[in-house]
Amino acid sequence: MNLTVKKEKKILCCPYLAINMLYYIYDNSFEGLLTAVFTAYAYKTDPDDIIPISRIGEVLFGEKIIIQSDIEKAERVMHGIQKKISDKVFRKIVYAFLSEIEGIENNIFQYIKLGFSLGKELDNHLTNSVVLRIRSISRKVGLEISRLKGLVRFKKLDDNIYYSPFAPDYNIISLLAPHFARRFATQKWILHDTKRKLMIKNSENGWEILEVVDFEPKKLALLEKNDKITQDLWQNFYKNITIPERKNITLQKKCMPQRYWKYLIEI
Amino acid sequence: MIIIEFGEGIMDLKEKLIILSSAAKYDVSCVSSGSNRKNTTKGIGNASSFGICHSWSEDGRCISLLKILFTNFCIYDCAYCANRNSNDIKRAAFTVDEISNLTINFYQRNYIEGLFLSSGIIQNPDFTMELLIQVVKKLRTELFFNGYIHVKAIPGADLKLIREAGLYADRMSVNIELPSESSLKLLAPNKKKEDILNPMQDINNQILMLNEEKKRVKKKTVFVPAGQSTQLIIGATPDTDLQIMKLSAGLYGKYHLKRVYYSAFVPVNNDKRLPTLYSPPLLRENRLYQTDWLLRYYGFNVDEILDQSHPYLEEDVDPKVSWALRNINLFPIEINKVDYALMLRIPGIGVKSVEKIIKARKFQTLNYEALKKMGVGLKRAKYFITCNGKMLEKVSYYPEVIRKKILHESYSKKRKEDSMLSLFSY
Repeated sequence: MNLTVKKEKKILCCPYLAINMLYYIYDNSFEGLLTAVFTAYAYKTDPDDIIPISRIGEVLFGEKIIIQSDIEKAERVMHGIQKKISDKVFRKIVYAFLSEIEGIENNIFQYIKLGFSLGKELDNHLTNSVVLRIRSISRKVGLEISRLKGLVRFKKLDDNIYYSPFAPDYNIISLLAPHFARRFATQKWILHDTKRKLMIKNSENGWEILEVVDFEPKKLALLEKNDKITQDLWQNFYKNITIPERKNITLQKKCMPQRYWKYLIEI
Repeated sequence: MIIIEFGEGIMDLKEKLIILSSAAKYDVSCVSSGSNRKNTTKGIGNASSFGICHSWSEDGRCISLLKILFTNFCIYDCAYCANRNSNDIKRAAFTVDEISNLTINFYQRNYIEGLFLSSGIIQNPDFTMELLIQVVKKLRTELFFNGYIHVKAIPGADLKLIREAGLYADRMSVNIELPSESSLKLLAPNKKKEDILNPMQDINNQILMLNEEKKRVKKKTVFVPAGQSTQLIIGATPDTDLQIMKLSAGLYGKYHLKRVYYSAFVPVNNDKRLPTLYSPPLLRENRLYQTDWLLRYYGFNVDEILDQSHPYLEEDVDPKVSWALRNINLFPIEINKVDYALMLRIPGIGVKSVEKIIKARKFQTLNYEALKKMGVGLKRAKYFITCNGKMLEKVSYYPEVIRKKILHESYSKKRKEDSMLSLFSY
């Protein structure tokens, strides 16, 4: 049975039992999560859940320990995972974290614990719920990254800046950046996660992630005017490449889910 | 620079693009994989070895390259081709600059991975090939474009020209189209078999030679790193599936092609030499792709699936099921003991599931719950495996009985869904 489900039930239904529960509260950052893991091992405690500070209100009873993010401790956990388990597993953990799925922290924590006891064979235990859960979530995140490498569309604004808005399910903007940094190294480009108000800006010195504070769509529309010619050419190419006798919208939607169509130029 | 004008005067770019992309769509090759070309300091772009799909058209096909003809003017008159000489259609031609600019502009906006450039034959094969070379050379050496380029090898062109193009391309292809020499003679009399196979052989030889040299000496030369492919038209000729797959297997073996594409015939011309089809044979095309996968990833030989007494693939069931039913004496197979090679032959279990099973059974004896949990599809496989000696369902172990059960299940499923014809609908 899935451990996470059990615990959630306890919080909501059995407040008396919950008094002996232990919760780590962390700052919603990856370093924070790894620090929480470090703390658990350092103090030889086994938190019942690791909860981001934004959800602290949900915990009514039980002991709450606030974890201070510590980059050194986080790095020690990272190296530990990479050496004792594998790089692939560490990447799965990063992907799982970026999924932002509620409760993922506990899944990750259980996965790491299992990993430290099973070592390199962790991911071969394909009937283990914890392994399967992380595998399934990290695959979804990985799939979105692959898809968006193709689906993200840039508009050339005045000043030769290439601007791309998109709205991913998962928080993967920082995983898209290296790909575009290599591919469009000499271009000024901006990736804009409109859902999370994050953006990545590329320049000669590399790329950086910034928070979007001010966003004026009308101003953007003006800067975009000259790009319409190329957009129009692309739309025409797209329309004419279909073989009408093979029309198959179901297959099209299956390969390219509709939730990504908003920012495409061609549809 | 060559500018080609036609009677009406110079057409505008948009109209050219509409004509010349529409004309190119029957060349179904779509991938942008197989090359890990890196970006350079002054350059634009790189290639991704897994390939990237940028969009999907309404026919469900992946769009990853700017797929165009240099020109749809053609001196040949192949029966099946929309661009054939005798068709009264609007003809157009790009300039080298127009294609380069389109490619760069689309690429920089992440619409495409690169360029797919083909052409009708204008004046003669050499002249046409030289036009294509101008484009790819300009992209690489003047514009420092490092994205993906797939350029056609024009049948009959001088091998020297084809080799020159190979220095700039990631993939090259020459389309066989007609699966037999007799159909080639009937439907495309201007093309000779040697004209098509010679470039294929030469490119293969060049690639092999370069690979050999690289083993001994470090060389920077890049020549067609993503290899070759070709295309066969399905349903325009009386060639059987056996003939088609034997040809494919031969091409993979002899010329080391990366892909053979099977393109369901779409009747675009009224021509007595061609069959009148109400719709393209998409199911047959799908079965051929499934067979192609069995050859390349599942260790099958053509003669295990097709032979003189079974020259056509079954429509109702996929080729793996078809083979299994004809070899029912091998089944059911115990999933905890079977080796890798035979496990690949169990219907309904794909390569990824085989790998999962091999890994997982090191740690526990697998039962049906475990298989389901791991995400191994049992819909087909349940008729062909045992777990710890037990089958999931009781069934009289005769091929006809099993076939009926499988058909019944897929019929009821099809009634619920649109037929999506995805490749892995095992």
